[in-house]
Amino acid sequence: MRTPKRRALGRLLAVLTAATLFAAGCGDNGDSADPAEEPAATAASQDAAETTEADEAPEPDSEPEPTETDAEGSGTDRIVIGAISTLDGPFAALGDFSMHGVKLALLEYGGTLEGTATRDGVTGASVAGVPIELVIEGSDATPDVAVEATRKMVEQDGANIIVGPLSGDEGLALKDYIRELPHVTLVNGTSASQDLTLRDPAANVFRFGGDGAMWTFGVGTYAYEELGHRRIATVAEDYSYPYDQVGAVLTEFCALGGSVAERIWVPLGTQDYSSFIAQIPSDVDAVFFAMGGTDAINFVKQYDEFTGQSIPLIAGPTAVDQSVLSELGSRAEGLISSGPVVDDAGLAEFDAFAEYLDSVFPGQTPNIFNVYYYVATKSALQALEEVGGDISDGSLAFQAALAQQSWVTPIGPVTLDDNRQAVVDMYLRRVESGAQRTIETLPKVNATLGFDRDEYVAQGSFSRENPSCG
Amino acid sequence: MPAASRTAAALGVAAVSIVLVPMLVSDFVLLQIVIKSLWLGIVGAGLAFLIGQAGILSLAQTAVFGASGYVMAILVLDHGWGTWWAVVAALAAGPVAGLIVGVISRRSSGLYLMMLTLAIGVFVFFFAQQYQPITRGHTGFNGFDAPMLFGWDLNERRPLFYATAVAALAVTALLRYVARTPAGLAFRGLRDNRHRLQALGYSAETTVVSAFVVAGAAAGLGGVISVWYNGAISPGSIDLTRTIELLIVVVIGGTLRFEGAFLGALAVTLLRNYASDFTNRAETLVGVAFMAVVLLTRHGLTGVLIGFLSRVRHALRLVRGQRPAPDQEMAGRPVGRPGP
Repeated sequence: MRTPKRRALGRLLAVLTAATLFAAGCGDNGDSADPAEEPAATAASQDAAETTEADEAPEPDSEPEPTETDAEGSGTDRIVIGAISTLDGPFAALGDFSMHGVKLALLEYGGTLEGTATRDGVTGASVAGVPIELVIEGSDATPDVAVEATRKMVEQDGANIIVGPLSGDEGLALKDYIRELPHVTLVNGTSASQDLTLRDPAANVFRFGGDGAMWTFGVGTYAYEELGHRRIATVAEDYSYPYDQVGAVLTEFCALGGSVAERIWVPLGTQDYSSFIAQIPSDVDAVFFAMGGTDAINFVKQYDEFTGQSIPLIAGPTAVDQSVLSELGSRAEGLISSGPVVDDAGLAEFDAFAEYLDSVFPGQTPNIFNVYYYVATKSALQALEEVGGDISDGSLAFQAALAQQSWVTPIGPVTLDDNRQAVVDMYLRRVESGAQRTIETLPKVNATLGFDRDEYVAQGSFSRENPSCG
Repeated sequence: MPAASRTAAALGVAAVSIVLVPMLVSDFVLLQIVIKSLWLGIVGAGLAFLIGQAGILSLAQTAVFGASGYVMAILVLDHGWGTWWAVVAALAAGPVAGLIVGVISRRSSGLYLMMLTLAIGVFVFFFAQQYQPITRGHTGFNGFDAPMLFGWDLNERRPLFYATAVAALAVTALLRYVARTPAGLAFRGLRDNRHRLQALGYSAETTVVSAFVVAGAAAGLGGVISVWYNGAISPGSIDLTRTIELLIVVVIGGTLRFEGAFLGALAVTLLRNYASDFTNRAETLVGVAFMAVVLLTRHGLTGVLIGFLSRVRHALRLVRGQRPAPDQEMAGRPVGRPGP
């Protein structure tokens, strides 16, 4: 038999849990469940069932007048940088890498790490005497969540500059949101969707790295001219970023006279590739595959084990990024790809970055994510320095300075074009002993891969069928 | 208090809240907490109704919600329909999608129904992700502009709040009404004992299908508002994570009364937005909160709230010197921790 006392205790616990829930929610502004609102509402709602409105009305009220900073006017006393990456979901590991990059850049400006966990920020950084605050939010790689997280950083935390996001479709969604807020600046992380900057660009969106097509530049030509391939098949994840990679390879390959036998599209997150591998025609010279993270690992493993499949593979940029190379092990040996990061670039900046990264985050090596987020954050900080940390004009001078940034990053020199899209070096590379070795440096790759801008834009976004080719 | 005056009181509270809330909270909170929990609550209310009234635990409500959102986005962005015509079509798509799910799963119950509806939910997700000619694949639809309503632009936060609040009231009214009709009684019969319901001459299968249609109407309305809220819809809006989140909303809210879903939606939205400010383990915190609610309360936050109210009433009676009467609110409805 349960004693009344114990029952009461149980109730108390339950109520406390509920209170904690709300306190957790409201604590941001320092006031927990508002004592003034709560009883008024509960008393009025005699019948709890009829409190549809009352239920949600009072609780959020427990944040009376949040201390929302006026993003436009806060330029001189502090600047808030909001970093967003995929801290949950399938790409969570990549989110960790990204945040390393952001923090490294801030450490160079006098910051100290608050802790070792991903969401631990950096304190004490400043530019031209203006303190820089870092807020970190995560998404799960879906556009809806990315927009909500960014909105929170901008409207609640007063972020003036957003660094991120990680994935392509998140970038497109954020562009739509940021475009409406001209005083806020988006410096892209690793979102590689072409149309972030190529078509319908937003004035306050900047990308200091390549897009999916640029990352794949040179592979089609190399496959045709150096490797002597004439007919290839492609296997790629079925969304915009792999479309850009396949599109770039085929644009070059087909322009030279090559043809594509089959384009196989696999759903994102596929575990079992056997049916797709079986579709690859046996008479092609090579198979280009464009995937990321675990998809790439699963595909390469299964392709390797698939009996009787000996057609050589050519990789997309993230399929053999340094972040997955160790997982691929010896299976990755000899894979050809193009991409922004190689381990033997011979740049002093790269070696310094690698050493710096390892000293702050032991065991980490440069990959596309930590390098790109570092470059994005550092570009923003440099531009802030040039305007003396003053963004009180609605960030106009800052954005102008950002558009003029031209510096030698750990992966080579970068400048921006008129759409605020980087012109950067790419590397044709081969995996040797678990590292990316340079075959050839491809200097100053631009958003149209060297083709005429109008013609290139007019051919439309890359898709399953575009470009058409043999 | 008689039912009529209680309804009047509740409507009064609702009206006052609708007027006051936008004045009391910031624009950010209005959009990302209040409006979000309202539309999530609308969808949740449908599911809570399905679970609480009819005893049907469906995992396909996200799919129904997505079907309606996609119908609106496709008709407007790909077929050039006027937004309001598309809204009408999308509102119809909810019950229709519910009907289809209901027809497919009408013979099953319990665990099997869960698995079946899970399969439907996953199917709809992959359809949205892969069937590009219709759904635009992984990218989905971006840049959806909410329509004008009586001269108000629903892209603005306050008008969207008013519209959403009215929609929440409408769904509440609809579900409450249905619960009182003979069909609503049949739902309860289905929940309590399917065989006895059949012995009374009801068709259990028809009852299941009707319950899905009703819940589909709520999900459809939620789907429409979610697309206004996000300005977009993509497979990421209806994936398994969202399905589980909806279930968490309903469980935290409690299924004793479907209105609890609004409370659950609010709790989950607050956690999602602010938990990361304190801890590196935001997901863990959500999980712990979920477990705490499940373990410590019998009917979620609604149960806690009702238990609290009945205690207040009890205390008031004592203060007034009346004899403590057995609480009508609680009569026949075990609330709080189960007894020994």
